[in-house]
Amino acid sequence: MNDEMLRKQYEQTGDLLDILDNPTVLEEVVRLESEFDEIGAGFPAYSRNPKPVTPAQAKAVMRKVRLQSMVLSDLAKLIQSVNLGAGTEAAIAEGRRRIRQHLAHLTDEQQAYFDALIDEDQLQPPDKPLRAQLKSVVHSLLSPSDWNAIGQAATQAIQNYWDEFIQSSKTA
Amino acid sequence: MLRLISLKTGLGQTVQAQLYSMQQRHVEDFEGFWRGILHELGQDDEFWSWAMKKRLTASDDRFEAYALEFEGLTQGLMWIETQWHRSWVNSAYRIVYIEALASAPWNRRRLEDPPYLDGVGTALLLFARRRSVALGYEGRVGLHALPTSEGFYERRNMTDYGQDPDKEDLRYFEYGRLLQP
Repeated sequence: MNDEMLRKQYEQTGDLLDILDNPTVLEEVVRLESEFDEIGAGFPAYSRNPKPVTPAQAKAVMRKVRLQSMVLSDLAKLIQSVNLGAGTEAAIAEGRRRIRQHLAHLTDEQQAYFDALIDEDQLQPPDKPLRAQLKSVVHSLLSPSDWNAIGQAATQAIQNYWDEFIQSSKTA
Repeated sequence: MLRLISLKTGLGQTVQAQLYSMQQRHVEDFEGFWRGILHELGQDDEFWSWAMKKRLTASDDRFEAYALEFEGLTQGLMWIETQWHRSWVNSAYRIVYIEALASAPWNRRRLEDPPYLDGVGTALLLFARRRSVALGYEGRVGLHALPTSEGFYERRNMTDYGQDPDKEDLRYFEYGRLLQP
């Protein structure tokens, strides 16, 4: 992907980022990034003293990432299904905060379920019975007071949005 | 959401990540999830404050903050300045300056190989160039690369203008003009 290709892309679609929809370009991007350990920019502290990572540490991190990814995705879907409009973002943010608190203090039974869920995810079987249960597990992980706080966060965001609308329509 | 961006998972599957103006949940992902992992793995950028960057962005028009999200998690963060920085080649020209760019720990090949998601750095860099075009800066973008990332920016065809004593001797890289405004 060079500047000439980017110019052509811009002429064709008006958006440079569309070039990543080209499978050949995307392959090249992956190949190029694979040559380098880091891509960071900004503050030197980012990589002044990087420490080696053991395979066990890397494996443990990936399990955490998959768990959070599955749980937070299902939580977002659950909240989005209510169609809270301008309150959706705030509700999801509050829900994520609370679910993370619960994930840090799981009962043995809950921990066993989540361990098995990650194992199932990594094995990629044709049927995923544990994954199918996740939305209801997420629902039950949050207490009535959590759900109430999530609803209040959405209500407050809608109120703020409404107040901004009233204020801006007054000056329009 | 600003738009979808095609990227690849470490397993080679093409997926659509979502690019957002940075939201509170992205800061909380850094504070509540990235930071813990970075600490466990002994990485230094656990000390960066993306919350401060988001606050500055909200209070000052010249700053913009973006996040790349996939499967419910923040995969990369970028903070840019759009009005004060000038090209090192010709100071008559404004540039988009990348104040900070970071990929999630699980997308760094040194920590995870293959990474969870490939192409995060390139996508954010390309978006900075897109902002430069939109602002009338003709695609000019500058940044100071971290020592372990210099090769990446060279291979992305940015010109290396050498070490900058004003920026703790980090090397300065710049993209020149891509398009007419």
